[in-house]
Amino acid sequence: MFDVAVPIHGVVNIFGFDLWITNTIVVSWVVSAILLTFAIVARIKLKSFTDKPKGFQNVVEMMVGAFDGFMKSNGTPKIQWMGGWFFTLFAFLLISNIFGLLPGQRPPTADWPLPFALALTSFFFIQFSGIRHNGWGYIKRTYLSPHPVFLPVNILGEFSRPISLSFRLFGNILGGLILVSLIYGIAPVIARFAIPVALHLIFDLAFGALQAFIFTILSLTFVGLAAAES
Amino acid sequence: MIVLNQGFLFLLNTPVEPRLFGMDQQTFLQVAPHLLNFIVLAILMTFILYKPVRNFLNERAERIAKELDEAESVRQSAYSLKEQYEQRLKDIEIERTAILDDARKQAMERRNRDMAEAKKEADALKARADIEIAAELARVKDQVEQSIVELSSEMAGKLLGVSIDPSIHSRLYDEAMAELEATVFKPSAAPAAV
Repeated sequence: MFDVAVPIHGVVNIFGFDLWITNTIVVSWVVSAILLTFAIVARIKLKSFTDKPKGFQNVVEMMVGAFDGFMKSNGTPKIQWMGGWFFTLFAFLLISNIFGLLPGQRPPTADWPLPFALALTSFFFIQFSGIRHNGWGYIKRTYLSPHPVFLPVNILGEFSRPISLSFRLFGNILGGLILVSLIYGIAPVIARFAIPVALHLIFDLAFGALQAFIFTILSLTFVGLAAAES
Repeated sequence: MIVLNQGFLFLLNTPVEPRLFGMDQQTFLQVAPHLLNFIVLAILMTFILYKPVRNFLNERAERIAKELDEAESVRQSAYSLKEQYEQRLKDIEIERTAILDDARKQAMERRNRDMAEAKKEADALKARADIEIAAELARVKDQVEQSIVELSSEMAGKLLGVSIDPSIHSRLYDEAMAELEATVFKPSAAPAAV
């Protein structure tokens, strides 16, 4: 049976803390390397891009153009400068979520620290956009409204956003992973090449893309709302 | 110890049991490398891929929009020129019609004038011819009268063997002429009958 636990490849000591080099960290590096390689190749080929796109240029234009259009239709003009971050978030989550399609690999998003780290960046941008576009009044309105006595509740409400974002993604991807591994365990040997493939397509590809989209659109909405607070 | 785990080679310092989830210090420590990794990745992706490609797309869209505007402007000016030319053609047609009408009118006037002049000339010629004819008729009549008188006088003298009194001669002549005119000199057949 496929082990759904996060393999740990080693331990490094940083500033007195033992940090486990988990499979999630390694795979996230691999995903980052894939994305960076793609980006570098696209950047090199950008010089030879023409007005009539074809082949690789079509792929690059479709990705960036579609996301730029998505940003323009869903985000306020105030947060257009964050398009690169949202684009990277979506691309990273998409590749990470479908990483489980590779034999013997598990999606890095099925380990909570990664979704939580991404949700923390969303949380940072929510606060940053609110303050940047509405001044410190945003903090007052968000945390001390309607009365300062609600500060603990408001803090809880604000911090629940990254937690809910991260657990939504983590739970969905881990749930799919557990289901697929269970099927691997209980299916007859002959059926192990048919049923899990269909489940991989559903849980890794379809749900993976869906969860990547949900995480990105929710982050975009939260950031956009904070920017347009006033 | 070098181990092969999930397809990756690693130097394993301390054996650690794999786990699914745990809310401990290690979990939150794990967040740090992910944060660092993603922040670096997002910055690199933005500056290597997203912004250059987006700028390329925006520049191309602006260029195409500009070209479309220029094409629209050229189309408008062409349309305006076409309208001007059509208007000029209409004006030329109107002018041509006016010139033709004027020429036709002038030609008609000239024709009428020429015809009037010709008619006038013809009338004058006819009148002159009538006068000449009348004069000729009168002259011929006088000659005939004279010849008849002379002839009748001679015939009467020969028949009677005397000279006729001029007053009788004259009276006989008038009577004979009256008879002659009544029978021979009809007004409608004046020269031919003579």
